[in-house]
Amino acid sequence: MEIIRELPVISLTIFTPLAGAVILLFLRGERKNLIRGFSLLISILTLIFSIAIFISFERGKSGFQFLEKKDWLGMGINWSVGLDGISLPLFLLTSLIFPICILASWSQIENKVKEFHIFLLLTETAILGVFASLNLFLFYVFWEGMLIPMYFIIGVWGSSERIYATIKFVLFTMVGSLMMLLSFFVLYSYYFKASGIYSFEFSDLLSLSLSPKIQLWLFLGFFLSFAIKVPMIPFHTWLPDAHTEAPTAGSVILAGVLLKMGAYGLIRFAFPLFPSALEQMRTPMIYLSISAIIYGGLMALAQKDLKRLVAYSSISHMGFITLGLLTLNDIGVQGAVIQMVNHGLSTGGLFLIVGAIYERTHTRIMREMGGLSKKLPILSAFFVIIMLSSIGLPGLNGFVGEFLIIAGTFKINITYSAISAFGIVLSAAYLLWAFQRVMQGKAKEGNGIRDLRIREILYFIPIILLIFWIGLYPKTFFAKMEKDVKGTIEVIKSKKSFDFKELLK
Amino acid sequence: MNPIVFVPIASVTLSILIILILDPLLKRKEILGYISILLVIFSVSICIYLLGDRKIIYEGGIFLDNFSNYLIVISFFIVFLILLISINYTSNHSSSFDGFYPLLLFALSGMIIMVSSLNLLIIFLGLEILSISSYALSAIDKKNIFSAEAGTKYFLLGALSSAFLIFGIALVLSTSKGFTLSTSTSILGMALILVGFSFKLSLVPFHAWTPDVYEGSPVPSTTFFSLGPKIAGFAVLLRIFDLYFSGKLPSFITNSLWIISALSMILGNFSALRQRNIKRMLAYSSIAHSGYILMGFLSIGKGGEKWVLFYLLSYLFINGGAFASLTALIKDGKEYVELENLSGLSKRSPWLSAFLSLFLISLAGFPPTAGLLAKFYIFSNAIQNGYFWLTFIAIITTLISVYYYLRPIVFMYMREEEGEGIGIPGFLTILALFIFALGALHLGIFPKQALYFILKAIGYLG
Repeated sequence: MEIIRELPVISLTIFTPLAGAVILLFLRGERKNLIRGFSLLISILTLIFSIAIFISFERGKSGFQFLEKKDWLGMGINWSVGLDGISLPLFLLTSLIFPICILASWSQIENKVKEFHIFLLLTETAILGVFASLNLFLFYVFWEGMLIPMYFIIGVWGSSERIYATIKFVLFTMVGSLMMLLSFFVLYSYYFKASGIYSFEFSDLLSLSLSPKIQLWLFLGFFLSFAIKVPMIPFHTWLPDAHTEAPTAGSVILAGVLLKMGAYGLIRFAFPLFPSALEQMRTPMIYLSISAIIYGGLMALAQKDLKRLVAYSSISHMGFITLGLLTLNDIGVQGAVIQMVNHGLSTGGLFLIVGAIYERTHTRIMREMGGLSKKLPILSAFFVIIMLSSIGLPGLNGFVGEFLIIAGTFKINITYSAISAFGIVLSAAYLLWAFQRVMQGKAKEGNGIRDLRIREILYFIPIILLIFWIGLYPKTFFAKMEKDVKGTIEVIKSKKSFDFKELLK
Repeated sequence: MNPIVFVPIASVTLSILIILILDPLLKRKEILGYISILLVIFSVSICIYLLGDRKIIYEGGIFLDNFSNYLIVISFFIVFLILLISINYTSNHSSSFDGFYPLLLFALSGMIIMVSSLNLLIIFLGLEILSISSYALSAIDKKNIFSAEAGTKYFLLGALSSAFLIFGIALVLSTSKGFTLSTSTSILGMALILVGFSFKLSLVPFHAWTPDVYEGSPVPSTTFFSLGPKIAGFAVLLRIFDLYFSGKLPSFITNSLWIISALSMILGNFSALRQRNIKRMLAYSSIAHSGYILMGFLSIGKGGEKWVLFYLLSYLFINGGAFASLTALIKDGKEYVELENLSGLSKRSPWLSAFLSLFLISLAGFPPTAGLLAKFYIFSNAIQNGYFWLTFIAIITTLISVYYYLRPIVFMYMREEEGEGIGIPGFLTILALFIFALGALHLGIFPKQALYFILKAIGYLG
């Protein structure tokens, strides 16, 4: 594995899907299976690269590994990428989700197949870039670069209300990201004033100490962008529409990795850069997280549409993740990071289930389903496992994350942890009830429904495997992230005390 | 006196003469277009070869340095692209477009005169040649009454703006010694010059002619208006400001620039939201972009010049590309440029829709296109010079612009097909669009080469 350390392996991973998309441009649109097969190949190649990165990532070290830095535009804008224990699992998750998406849309997308796969691969490049960028401008480029392909994926291949949903998605995201851009500019000019050097490098900007008032304003710019993406209440209204109207692959990408970009941005950039602003905003943000947990759960309970139910459950689960990040202790933050992966797997899996069911019954309304488990035994078995993982059954991955988050929350406030534990009860209620309505009971008419094909089983298998793996042996991941989570928390805490000293002067 | 100083103007004038002689002899007007393209390529090659990096001055009023040479090449390039898109367009159109090619070359000569002088009167002369050719270019579609209306409007308001301009020039020249503005009268003169240019550059509140003229004129003319006069105009205004204020704008001027810029961004973007006609929408969008460009003027002397030039270059590719894409939307000799006409375009001509989408997302400022970098440089420079609130307005209005830039894409990709036969571009149009798209992407990903030329061009600005 030594050779991997010497290659620019992160750039290679990021650009493989892009190169694939460019080649796809020149393939003939009628040859649908060739296009699907080729994109699958490309995305599996990307996955192999990131597995290699994951394996050769040294666990004992803290800080970024596989660093690459090249001058790109000048003025402190560099191609600078690297991974640490926090971004590594997400990087891996992203490259795992995309082959699954391509397999899942194999029979669901029949229209404009070529364009669909081009946009899918472009999205993959952008999201991988987001998790690996260590330069704020580069981060912004990837962050925004994701938006256009997703706009097309939802808007062209979505269901009936897709245009409304996709425009809402883009406009919400743009509000946030432009405010973040404004914060970037201000941060950039402060850094220039302080040091005389132009720099967007994360490591440089980290050394900057700003007055709490300025920190607060800049933090709000970052926070708005990330909170919309997560989404935190009250910025969540785009999510149910976008998730519900998107094609299966789109929903899986949205729930699986896009939402994590927000949580990742908080812990990677917003918290360490503006610790004293975090201190001022922490309690309100915790309230927002807890209300997201409860609100998402209650809304999910009230849904009639299965896909919308999963979408609202996403809001609830993302509430757990932001709560875990805000605990600012080792247990809570580690739980949050692993929960990001878990949520990607379980909610992504649930959307795949919904997609598979929709392909067979042509409805998403739960009242019109029922008794499907007899006709679809394999699908129903997968549904049970993924659902239990989402609820947090011990032995499955969801338990690890949720347990750690609640334990971390317990350390700061018992009431918070009690209320958020109630969120788990809610999730058990809406998911079990949904399962009962969809899979059990009297079968509705509609013969000729086939169970999962081999191709479909194929894409559920890695999800199921990882669900058990993380549930039974989470150490594979924790060992790699431990040091960096500790390091990040230390940065946040140490900078904070420094700022207070500044204030006393 | 070095005779090379006359090469740019002479080569264009000769080309015009050749075209005028050939015009009555040729029955098929496309051939005239091809000949014009060859002449333009030939002239620009001579200019690049003879001028190079040299600085040549003729006391009669011509001043050629890197800045002028850069803009001369850009002017040739613009006209070259317009010629490419107009050949297919004019042969599909029912009107005859007599005189289109010579007029375009006349406009080119105006641009060249404008950028190759420091003398305000000669700049005015160039600007007038450019403007008068533009009036004719806008009224050139004889079968379309709106084209005539556009020409009249453009002419009347253009003449008014020329009056402001010449009055301002008179005040400046009569009171200043060399390039120093000594009295308050000369500052007033500069303000009037700013007003005159604001008309030509369609800045609010002097923008009223823009939507009507852009909508009524045939697409190649509109594309030219959105590129030629704007790019040359902004560049010349930049040079005048830099010369006369030598890097320190008086607060009277900066305040006016601030207000004009903010108003243009706000009004341009908000008005564009309501348009159903794509030409009209892009007209308002170009007003907004003028506002963004003007932001760079506030930091003249503090790094603003190069970002203005970079924005203009990006604007050439992305805005030019967006207008040029519309030349293909022609059927039975008429233009179909309502939003509805785009429905399902991605099925009929996937390349045209892909190009138009690229230009629109670039105008909206998405990566990895020139639009993002152009905005980024201007905005971050403005923040560094303390214009936080103006940047704030710029960012909010950019957000608003995303909505209307994405709307044509909704029609092209997400609606069902209607209106058959519209939107099949010819070979030359595709070639031009390809060049526009290449520029938009290249500037967005590898801007360093372009920046090298820009830095060389403003070498004298310091």
